[in-house]
Amino acid sequence: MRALTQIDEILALVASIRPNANRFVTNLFASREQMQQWADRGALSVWETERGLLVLRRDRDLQRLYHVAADAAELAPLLEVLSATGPPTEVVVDLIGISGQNEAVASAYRAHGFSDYAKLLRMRRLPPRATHRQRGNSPPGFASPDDLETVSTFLGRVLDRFRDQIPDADELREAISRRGVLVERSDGAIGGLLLFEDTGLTSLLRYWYVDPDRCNRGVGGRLMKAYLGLCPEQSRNLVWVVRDNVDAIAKYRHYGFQEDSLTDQILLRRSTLG
Amino acid sequence: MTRIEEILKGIRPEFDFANSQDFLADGMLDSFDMVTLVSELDQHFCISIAGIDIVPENFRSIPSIQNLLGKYGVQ
Repeated sequence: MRALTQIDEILALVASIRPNANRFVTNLFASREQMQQWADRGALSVWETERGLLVLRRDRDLQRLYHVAADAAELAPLLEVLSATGPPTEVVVDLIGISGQNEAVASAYRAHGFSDYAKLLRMRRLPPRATHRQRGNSPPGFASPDDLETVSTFLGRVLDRFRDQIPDADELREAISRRGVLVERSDGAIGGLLLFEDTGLTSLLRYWYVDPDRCNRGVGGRLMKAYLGLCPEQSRNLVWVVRDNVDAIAKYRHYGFQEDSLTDQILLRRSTLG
Repeated sequence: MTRIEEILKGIRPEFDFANSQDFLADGMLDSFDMVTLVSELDQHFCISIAGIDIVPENFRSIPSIQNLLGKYGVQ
C-alpha cells in the first residue's frame, strides 16, 4: 500500500488495465476533481497489480474502498493483500450498477470478509411536475456559512456513517456557498434540512432529513416543496434511497419520484481490532 | 429518431438528446447512467463493449456513440 497524491497516477494505472480487460469492473465513479480533492487531503492509498487496482479513501474513522480490475476474478489477489496488510478499521465498498449485475464482484468481496450492509435504489423524478406552493409557516431558506457547525452536527446525528457518505467540513462549506443546503429553522435550531447538488439539467437530492423531535409538523414537506420550486422545468431529480425504507420510498413517490434501474449494494468489512 | 436516440430516451425519457453536444456536461447522463447505457447498447446491437471503450469520451454525444458502435461493426 502506498499513499497517492497525484490523480494522474490513478488514471495512468486505469489506462494500463483497460486494454486487457474484456469484463472490466469498477466502482470508481468519482470525478477527477473529486479524486484530486481526496488526494490533496492525503486521504488516498493504493494497491496495484498488472490487472487490477484498489484505492482506499480515508473517511473519518473508516475507509472506503474502490476497485478497478480487468474482471471480477482479478479482485481476489488484491483483496487478499488488503486482508493481510490493510488497515484494521472498518472498510466500506459501494457496488453501483443494474440490479443483479454486480453479483460476481459482491461474491469476491464476501469471500474476503465483507458482508452485506445495505442496499440503496435510485429514484428519479421527471417533468412535467405539479406546482408546489408554500403555505403557512416560515418557508425554508438557504443555510449560511454561520450554520456550518450546526448543519454538520445535524447530519452527523441523522446519517449512517457506513451507508451514507457524510460530507466533511470542506464539502459542506462548498455546498452552503453554492446555495445547495436548505434549512428550516425552529426555535433557533435546525428542524430539518435538504442538501442537493446540481449538474446541468440533473439535480441530485443527497439528503432530506427532519429532526426526529420535529416530525409530523410539515417540515419535510416544506423543504421538498422549496427544493422542487428551485428546479428548472426541464431538469430531472435523482435520489438514492434505502431499498427497505418503504416509508421514504412512499414519500418520494408522493412527490413524483419513480424507481430507477440502478442499485447501490453496500458491503462492510468490520474492524479487525476485535 | 435513430435507434441510439431511442435507447437514450429509454434510459432518460425526460431529455432531448438530439440537441446536446455533451450529455455529461449538460447533466443528461452521469457516470452511473453509462453503466445502463453500455448494457442497453450491448443488448440492442448484440455486441460486447470492451472495458477499454467504456470511457466518457465515447458517450458524450450521439456522433461519439455512433463512432463507438462503428468500431463494433454496427452501421
